[in-house]
Amino acid sequence: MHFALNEDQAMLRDAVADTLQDACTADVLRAAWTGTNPALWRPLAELGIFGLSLSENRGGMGLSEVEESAVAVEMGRVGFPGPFAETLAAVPFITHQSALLESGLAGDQPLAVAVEGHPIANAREAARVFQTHGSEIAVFTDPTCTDLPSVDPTRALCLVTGDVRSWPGDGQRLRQRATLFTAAMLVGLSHRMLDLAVAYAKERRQFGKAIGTFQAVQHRLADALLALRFAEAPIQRAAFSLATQADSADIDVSTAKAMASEAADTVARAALQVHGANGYTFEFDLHLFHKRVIALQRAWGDARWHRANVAGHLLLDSKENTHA
Amino acid sequence: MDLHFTEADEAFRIEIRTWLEGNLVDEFAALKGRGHLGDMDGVIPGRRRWEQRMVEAGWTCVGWPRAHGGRGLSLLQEVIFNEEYARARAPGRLGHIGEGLLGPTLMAFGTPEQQARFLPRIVDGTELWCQGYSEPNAGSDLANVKCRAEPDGDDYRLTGQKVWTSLAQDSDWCFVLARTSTEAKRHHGITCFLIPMDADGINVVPIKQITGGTEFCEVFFDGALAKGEHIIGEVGGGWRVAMGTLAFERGASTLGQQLNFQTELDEIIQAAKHNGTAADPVIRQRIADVYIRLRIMRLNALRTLTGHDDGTPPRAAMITKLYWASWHRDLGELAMDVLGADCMVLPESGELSELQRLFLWTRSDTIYAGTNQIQRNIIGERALGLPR
Ligand SMILES: Cc1cc2nc3c(=O)[nH]c(=O)nc-3n(C[C@H](O)[C@H](O)[C@H](O)COP(=O)(O)OP(=O)(O)OC[C@H]3O[C@@H](n4cnc5c(N)ncnc54)[C@H](O)[C@@H]3O)c2cc1C
Repeated sequence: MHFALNEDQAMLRDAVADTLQDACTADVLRAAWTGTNPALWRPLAELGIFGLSLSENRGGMGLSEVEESAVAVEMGRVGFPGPFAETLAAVPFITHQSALLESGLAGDQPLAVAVEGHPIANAREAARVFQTHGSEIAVFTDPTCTDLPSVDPTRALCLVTGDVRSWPGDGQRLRQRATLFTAAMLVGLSHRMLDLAVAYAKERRQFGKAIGTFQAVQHRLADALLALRFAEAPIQRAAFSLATQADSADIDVSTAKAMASEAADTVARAALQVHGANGYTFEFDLHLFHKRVIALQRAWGDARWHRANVAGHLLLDSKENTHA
Repeated sequence: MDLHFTEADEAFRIEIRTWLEGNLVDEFAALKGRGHLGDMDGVIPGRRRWEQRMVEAGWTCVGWPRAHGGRGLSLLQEVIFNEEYARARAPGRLGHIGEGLLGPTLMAFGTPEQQARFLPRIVDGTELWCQGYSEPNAGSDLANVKCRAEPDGDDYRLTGQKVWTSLAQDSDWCFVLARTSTEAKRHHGITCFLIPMDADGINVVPIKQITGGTEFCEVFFDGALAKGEHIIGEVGGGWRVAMGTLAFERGASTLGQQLNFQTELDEIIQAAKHNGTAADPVIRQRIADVYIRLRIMRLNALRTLTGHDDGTPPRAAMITKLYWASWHRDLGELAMDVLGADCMVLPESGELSELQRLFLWTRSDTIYAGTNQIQRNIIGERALGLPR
């Protein structure tokens, strides 16, 4: 057993992190609040991230969810705008339209997907809009989008209507992948919020000392770190389970999403509290990440749904538990 | 022990309830539910007219003594008033800072002349107040205020910056803590001034909040004139005054807000029934839990108000702020969990729904008027007598 990324995987992750650090700053995020910024996708696509789990003969890298989720953590860390988790999840499902696959791999246009009946993120600018229904996948042939203004403006939601046609592939797996990558992004977001809070605690002075010297502040941040650390292993476990098609995959994905959603909540709460009134303002970056957390926490099922899913497996009534 | 309200109290409840029902109609009906949480800067003109309606009927400053233009209600009746006000979903009070903070401070520390000059205009709603205490480097550490007050004849010139000043953009006056001496020890060089917001040398810059609203502001002073006759308390005695204000802010003035909270909880319960989460055992437990804690909050408020003989609320007020702020924060989180995926979507108006705003706003409850950490420090030091 080796419960960690190997050298190549870590290099890939670091390359993505480096690219993002320059390309996706808080200023870029603020700009993205008025519309997705496509210039961001290209440089990432050049690193090959949309083809990570595609076989090499189809233009991919022949890797798996293990690498993909490690990348998604980095995307979360910068609060990457747009339907990243969905696109990453869906690209390998494009098995028969080479132009579409090329555009997906090149990061030209995102792909949109949600569970049937749910609002779909960034459907308007997507090259294709998919929906999953249990083990089925369908594509909208002529989608009509009704905008639903979103709390997180970088994740524009639409209700999509129109005719659908069946699409090859396992809808369950597509849902699990999108769920896992969303969970991974939440872990990345939590890292970022915690980093911001720690930096602020070192810098902000009250009563003649850095507020980070007060144990009340230290304990809050320690608890936040605890929540975050214990949300990390489940991401890796779920990624490995999907990659190896383990029997426990569905439980593992739900564990990852439930833990990541709750950790993000705990970290967001602590980070804002440590920022005092500044955390309550638009000017400080914290809220950019906080609002993304609000959206991603509930995207692809909130903690409650995923716990119910785990309970369903344990108590053998999973058939009744449709995606809420 | 007798946990009934007296007949007189019940009659009073009916009186205010009837008045609110009869008056929150026509143009005022649209104000229902507005001007609270994260919306304190909303519908200001309408709320000004509503304040006038309240003034005409004598419903402002109801807890103040009659000598100062109030109704002289007991604290318990004041709570009843606040409860009925909340039950009617009447709009957030524009004058609450004057009525709840500055007024009581003036009664405790002001001269008769100051009281005669300022109190009537709080009662008649013609002067709105804001609280200029916090500065960029003086939040929890309020004694660190750096805003300078330099003598100019009998008067003073203020220079410096305040921040997070709620409703500064709509206020006529501000009560400001400024430093009159840099030599005296931290707490002793501070003085409390009253200054008109239209004085030369005052610049107000609204701050955008995570809710998208701008309820608080930066206030810059550049040699703005504050009259010597408008100093509250002694020169150098501002710290005592400030502690007095904070006690009002954290104490009795919040005891009647449980009905507001109940209204919010009702809305969450409605949402839960509507979207089916009311059938979820976890959500049911959490709804029951916040309900129970809310009831306890009210019981505690009533006990605080009536469980003693001398008419002054006991020091239990110390635990109140921490309790309600944490409870309210939890309520905001419950609201989001009940909404589930719907909480990602804004209503058609494109503005936050009441429950979304509740969540974001309640993030600040554990910060203003003393953060949770500061409240715990105070409880540890003063209630438990732990060494500092
Ligand atoms: C919505 C809102 C409205 C406001 N309205 C007004 C207003 O009208 N007028 C006004 O004057 N001010 C107002 N304020 C400011 C408010 O009083 C301050 O935000 C508050 O006192 C905290 O100060 P700070 O924000 O600087 O946080 P800081 O004091 O910088 O605190 C940052 C973090 O450090 C912690 N901390 C600080 N000191 C200690 C310690 N000794 N021990 C343990 N932990 C500590 C805090 O708990 C917090 O978590 C408002 C604030 C908000 C959010």
